[in-house]
Amino acid sequence: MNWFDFPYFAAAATLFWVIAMILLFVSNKNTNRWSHVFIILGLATMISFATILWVRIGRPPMRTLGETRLWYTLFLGLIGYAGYLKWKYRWFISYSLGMAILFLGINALHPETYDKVMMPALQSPWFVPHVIVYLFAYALLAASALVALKGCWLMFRKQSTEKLLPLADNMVYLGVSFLTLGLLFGALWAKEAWGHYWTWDPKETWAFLTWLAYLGYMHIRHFRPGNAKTAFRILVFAFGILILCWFGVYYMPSAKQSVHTYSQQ
Amino acid sequence: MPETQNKIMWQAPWGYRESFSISVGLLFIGWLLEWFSNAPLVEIASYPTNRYMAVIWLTVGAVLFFTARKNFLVKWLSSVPAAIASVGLLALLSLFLGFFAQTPNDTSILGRLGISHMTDSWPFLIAILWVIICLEMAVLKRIRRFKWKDTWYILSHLGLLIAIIGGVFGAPEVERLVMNAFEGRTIWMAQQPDGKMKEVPVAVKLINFDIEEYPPKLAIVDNTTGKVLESMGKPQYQLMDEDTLQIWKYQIIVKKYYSMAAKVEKAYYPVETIGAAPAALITTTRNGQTTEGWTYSGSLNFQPEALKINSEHSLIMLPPEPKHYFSDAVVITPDQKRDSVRIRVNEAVKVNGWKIYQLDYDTDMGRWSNKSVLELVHDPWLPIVYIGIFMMIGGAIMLFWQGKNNSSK
Ligand code: HEM
Repeated sequence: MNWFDFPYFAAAATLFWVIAMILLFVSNKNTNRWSHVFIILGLATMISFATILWVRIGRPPMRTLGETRLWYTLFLGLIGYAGYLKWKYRWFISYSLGMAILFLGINALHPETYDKVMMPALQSPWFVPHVIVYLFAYALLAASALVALKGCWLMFRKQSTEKLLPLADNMVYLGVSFLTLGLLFGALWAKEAWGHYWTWDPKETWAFLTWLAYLGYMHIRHFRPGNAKTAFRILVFAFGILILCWFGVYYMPSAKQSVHTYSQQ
Repeated sequence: MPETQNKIMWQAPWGYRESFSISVGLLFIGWLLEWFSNAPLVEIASYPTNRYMAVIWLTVGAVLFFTARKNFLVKWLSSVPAAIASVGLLALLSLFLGFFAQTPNDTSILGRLGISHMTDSWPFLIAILWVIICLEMAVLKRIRRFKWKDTWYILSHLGLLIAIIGGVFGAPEVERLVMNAFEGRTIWMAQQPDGKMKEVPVAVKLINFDIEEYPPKLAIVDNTTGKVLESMGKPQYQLMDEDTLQIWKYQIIVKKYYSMAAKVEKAYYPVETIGAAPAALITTTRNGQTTEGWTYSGSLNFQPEALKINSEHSLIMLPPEPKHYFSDAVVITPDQKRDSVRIRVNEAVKVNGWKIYQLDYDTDMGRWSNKSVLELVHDPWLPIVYIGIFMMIGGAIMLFWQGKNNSSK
């Protein structure tokens, strides 16, 4: 089996990344040189594995469930690290590496999925990017909602929220950039798989509404930057819509027509 | 905040209150038009009217901007409150769209207000036109005093504008037709959404439809309940991709396996007839007790067969699931050019401006289906939409890199 060495690579990458995260949190500085080294070592391990696998099976490893998770791991690591280099949010790199390790773990525990091919509609080069950018978007927007909740609480206690609003704003900007990519990759994929890029399918409509809610936030903030209370409230509300979109779609009368309600198996 | 409180409504400059009032007004105008107009919008906005509408609407915006840039109305159109109110109206209509099931010929109140055929209703068209003009103004405003720092802004906003224009004004020209192709026959008629048949400039001769399948799955069932045994709340299915497997507490050895087989007297033999299905000769072992026998997944022509392991349990084989399905076909264009193609899910084929998608097949017949359902799609505005989408992708990546602090003044 071509995945024979996987557990070793997975264990090595996990080890490197766990060390990196520990270093990040024990050192007081936001950038610890050794943590960078270990993050890169972990990335290099996964890139090597993906390369070896690719050469061995003689085709891009993008067809099976197990292979899909391999890409999640790799890109979560790469984008997480790039984002960390740029923005220095420790939680961001920890989330990215944490998710990456999670996918490694699922793969290691379920070797049968290495060969489990996905249903035909899911076998698309857009599938992996689509999922990855949404993983980042939801994480960043959830973080912004937490910041907003903290802001509301501090305002309630009549304490200063000076630093929180710029942080929330930046997270929304980053989150919306991923959300936009998610929507667009989804559209490109839909064109390839179902013949049209946008069909107002309920799932699409609700994703669109989530996006609009955050666009609303960005524009309102741009127009009148001063009002922190309203900003925090809108942000919590927008995250409410996100959650509704994520979990609620299946219960709407319109959902009977959705093409996105696949149940695998 | 002070300006909205001290200012009398409708006194320039307009803010959120005026903008949202206009949204509400437009919504009612849309509903009135929807209620009283007799001709369905789909027909009014069909080719070539859609092209005139696109040109006129964009020109109106541009002329307004360049002749009356300082006018308070134009300033308002390029302001955030107008943007929020216009997008807000679109969001409200999308909310209806996301909530209510869409049925074209609905005569209830929802139908008469256009809510159950939202995407071709008057309110929706009006909302989109309003969003378009606001967006156009917002883009022109920044382009006029362009700074490199604003590249992401132009890419996002202009990209969105271009994509919306391509999508909205191009919609009446999108054709999506369904073609039932049969092996050995050449077909150039396809069905429109309204059920009428239409000749297409691409003829398809289906050579062969086929399905690649996964190995079948095995499972153990309880003889009395007939249910698949579970472990940790999940039914235990095992893909039969190796010769030795472990399901539940049974050790399973696959001694013989035929992917296409049929029963002759007591055993299974490889055959190629219609309805042949996977069969396996299997040994199961548990606590030193061994059972051997055939299990068969069955098909439209043949009964499945379970292997009875003991009084408690049986081993069953599930019909294999499709891995890929595809149509090998020859496509012929009016100038008699022929091309051999393979059309599969997620891999459409492009011929003569049309894209051909693998949609479906005769699922009762499975891999013996000699019918393949294809979808033919023609969208002349697609390149415009793609330009917009790729500009937006560029804008989003730049937005990620610049973040909040570097992108605003
Ligand atoms: C891809 C979707 C969009 C994104 C990511 C986006 C993002 C933004 C951002 C971040 C700003 C602040 C600009 C700055 O900080 O310099 C802004 C401004 C603005 N946006 Fe958008 N926006 C989008 C769609 C729209 C739409 C649909 C409209 C109008 C209907 C619109 C109208 C405006 C206006 C009027 C401004 C203010 C421009 C100015 O003050 O110069 N945007 N947009």
